[in-house]
Amino acid sequence: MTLEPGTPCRRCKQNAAIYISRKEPFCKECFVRFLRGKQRKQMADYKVCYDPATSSPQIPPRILLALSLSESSLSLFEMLVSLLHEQRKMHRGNSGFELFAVHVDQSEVYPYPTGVDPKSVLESMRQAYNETCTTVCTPVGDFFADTRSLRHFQHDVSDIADYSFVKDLTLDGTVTVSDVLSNIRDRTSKLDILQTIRESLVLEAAKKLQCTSIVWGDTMSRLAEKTLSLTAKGRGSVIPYILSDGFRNGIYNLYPLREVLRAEAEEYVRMLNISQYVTKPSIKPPNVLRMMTIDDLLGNYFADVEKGFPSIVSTVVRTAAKLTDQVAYASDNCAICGLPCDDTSPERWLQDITVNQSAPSHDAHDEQDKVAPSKDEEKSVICYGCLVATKGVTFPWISTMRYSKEETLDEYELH
Amino acid sequence: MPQPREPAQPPSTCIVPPRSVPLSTTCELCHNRKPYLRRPKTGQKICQPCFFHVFETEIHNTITSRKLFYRGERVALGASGGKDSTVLAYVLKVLNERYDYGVEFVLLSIDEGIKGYRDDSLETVKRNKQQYDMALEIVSYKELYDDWSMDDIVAQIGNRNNCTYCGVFRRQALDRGAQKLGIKHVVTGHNADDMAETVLMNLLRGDTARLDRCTAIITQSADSPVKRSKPLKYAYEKEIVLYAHYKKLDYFSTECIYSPEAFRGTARALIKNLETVRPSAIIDIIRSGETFALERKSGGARLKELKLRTCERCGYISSNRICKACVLLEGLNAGRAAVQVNGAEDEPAEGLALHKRLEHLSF
Repeated sequence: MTLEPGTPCRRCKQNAAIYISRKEPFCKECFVRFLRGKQRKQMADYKVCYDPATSSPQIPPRILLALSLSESSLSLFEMLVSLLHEQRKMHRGNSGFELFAVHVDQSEVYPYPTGVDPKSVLESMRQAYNETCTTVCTPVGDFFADTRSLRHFQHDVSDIADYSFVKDLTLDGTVTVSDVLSNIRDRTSKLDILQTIRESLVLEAAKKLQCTSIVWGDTMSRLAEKTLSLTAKGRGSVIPYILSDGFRNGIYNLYPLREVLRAEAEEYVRMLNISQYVTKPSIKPPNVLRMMTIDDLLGNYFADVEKGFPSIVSTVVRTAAKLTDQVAYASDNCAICGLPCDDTSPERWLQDITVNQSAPSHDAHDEQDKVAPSKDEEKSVICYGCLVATKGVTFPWISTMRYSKEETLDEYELH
Repeated sequence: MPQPREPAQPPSTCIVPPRSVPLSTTCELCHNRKPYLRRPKTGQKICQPCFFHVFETEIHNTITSRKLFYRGERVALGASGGKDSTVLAYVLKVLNERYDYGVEFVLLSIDEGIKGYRDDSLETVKRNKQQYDMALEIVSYKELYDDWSMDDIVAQIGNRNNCTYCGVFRRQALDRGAQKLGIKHVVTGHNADDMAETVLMNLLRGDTARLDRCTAIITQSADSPVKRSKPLKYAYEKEIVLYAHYKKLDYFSTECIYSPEAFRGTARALIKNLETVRPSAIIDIIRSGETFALERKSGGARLKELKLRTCERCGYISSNRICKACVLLEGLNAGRAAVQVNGAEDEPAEGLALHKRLEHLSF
C-alpha cells in the first residue's frame, strides 16, 4: 500500500498523512500519539500516585530500561521520557516512576562501527535528557568482575558434557567474556551465551540501582521471532516465563512495545529525529546459510512470510501468551542460563532417542546395553536448551567418549 | 547379497556436507569399521552397522519407554507404500522379532482413489505384504463415501481445500478399517520432521486447540474408537530415507499430486534451514512442543458434556449429531445433484468452455 500525496491523516483529518501503518494513513503527530498510546496502555500502572491519607505524592518506583540502543529500545526510551515530562507538567513536578537506563557495552566482543562509542552516545543522550533519566553504561566484561556471576559458569558436569570453557574459568580469576565466547564455535550458541550474559548484567544493574521493574524494548516482531527461536532451540518451556510480563528473580519485567511492530518503532525514531543515537555493534548476519544463527533465520523468515500473511506476527505473539508457565515453580535453575528448569536430567530424554552406542560386536553381546549413567547427586542442573547450545552441532557427551582425529587436529594443529 | 560399491556419500542431497576436512578413518561409534555416512541427526561419521543399530535402537527405546504395545496386542499399521510407513513396517517386524514384543502387525491401507499416485503405491504395499509376511486390508474412499474418490472430489471442488476432505475421510477410513479388523490401535509413520513441522505450524497459525497435544506420541480422542501412535516420532526423515536406501526397501516415492498448501511449504522450508544451521533443531522443536501447556477452561467438564454418540447417518462415533465426514459428504452430494440437473447430458467443463467462448464473441 503506497501513500498518495495529499492523503489526509485518518485520525485528525487535517494534516497530510506521511506514513501508512496497518493500512491506515497517519500524520506525524497522530502516529507518535498512536505508538505512545500503545506503550502507555502497557504501563498504565505507572501513574502518579497520591497517598490517600496525606494526599502527598508517593515515592515513585524505579524502573530500569534495558537500552541496547537499537531503534526499538531507543523509541521506548523516548516514549518513557515523554511520559515523564507530561506527568511532571500535570502533577507539579511529580512523576509516576523514576527512569534509569542501562546499556551493555559489547565492544570487547563485537566492535561497534568505527567512530562510534556507546559511552559518548550515552553522554550526549544524558545531556539532552539530563533531568529525566540516569544512564549507565556497563562493559560486558563486568560479568566476571563480580564473583557471584561467575558461579553460573562453574559446575562440574564432566559426565555428560564438554564444558572445557567452563573449566578454564576456574583456573584463575582473569577469564574474560571473549575467552568464553571464543571457546564456542557455533554462532548461534555464541550469541546465545552473550545474550545470557547481557541479561544477567541488566539484572545486576537493576539490583544495584534498586529498581523494582525492568522494561525491555522488544517489539511485537521481536517477540514473535523469540517465540519461534526459543522453540527451535529446545527452550520452549521457558517461553511463558521469559516472554510474558511478570516477576523474574524478584524484579518485575515488562515489554511495553509488545503491540508495536518493528517497522513502526523504526519509523518513530526517524520521525522524531533521534536516529543519531542508534548504536548497534556490527554483528553482520553472514550470507552463508550454514553460518547464520537461528535468530538470523527467523528474522528472515518473518520478513518473508509477513508479506503474504501480515497477521502472522500478532498471531504468534498471542499464541505464546496463551501458554501456561510450567517452570515458574521449578525448584532448580539451569547452571548456565540461570532460568528455572523443571527437568533435572534432560540428557536422559536425549539419550533414549539419540543412541550413542556402536552396533554390538560379535564377541561381546549385550555388554554395552543399558549402561545407565551413574547419577552424581551433586551434579549441576543444565537445561535442555543449554545442553544443546553448549555443544552446537553434536550432542555434548558424544565427544567425551573419545577424541576424534579431527577434533585433535583442530585443537592442536597451528593454522 | 553383497553391498553395492557406492561412494561414501549416498546419492541424495540429504547428507550434511562435512564442516571441516573429514579425515577420520574409523566410525565414531565403534572405532573399528570404516565410516560410511554422516549421520543427519548428530553429524557423526559412522559405519552402516552402527547406523542401523542406532536407528533401530532409538525406535525400540521410544516404543518401550512410552509402553506403546502390550504382549498379544494386534496393531494395524497405516501403510501408504511411502518411505515412512515402509520403514516403519520393516523396523517393527525386526524389533518385534529381536525383542519379542509379541505383537501382531497388520497392514492397513487407504485407497483415496488418486490415479497416478495411490494406485501405484498400493502395488508397493501389496508387495510389502509378501515381503514382511503381514496381513493386508485395503479400505477405499469409493466404497465408504457414496462412490466418491479423491479424484472425483477434486474435479468438483477444485484444488483448494481438498486436503481438508482427504484428512477427515482418511481419519475415519483408518478407524473403520481398524474396526473391521477388530483392532483398537493404529500406528502411523509420522516422523520427527512431520512433528516439528506441526509444532511450528500450530504456533504460526495460532492453533491453540492442537498446540500442546500435537507432540503426544499416543493420541486418543473421544470421537475415535481407535488410538493412534507414532513410533517414528523421533526419527529424522533423512535417516528414514537413508535406512530405506541401505536396506534396499521396496517403497514408492512420489508426493501426492494434489500438493499441500503454500503456508505449510514455508514452515517446511524453515525447518530445512534450521536443520542446516543446527542438525538437532528438529528434535529440539519437538522437545519444546512437548513442554507446551495451555490452560484448558473446564476441560474435564467439557469432556463429560461431549457424550459419545453416533452419527445419525453413518453410525460412526461423533461428538455432533452428524459426523464431520457426513457433513462434507452432504456438500459434495448436493454439488453432484446440481450438476446432474443443470448440465443434463453435457460435460460440465465443456459447457463452461462454450459459455466462455460465447462471451467473447462480438458482432
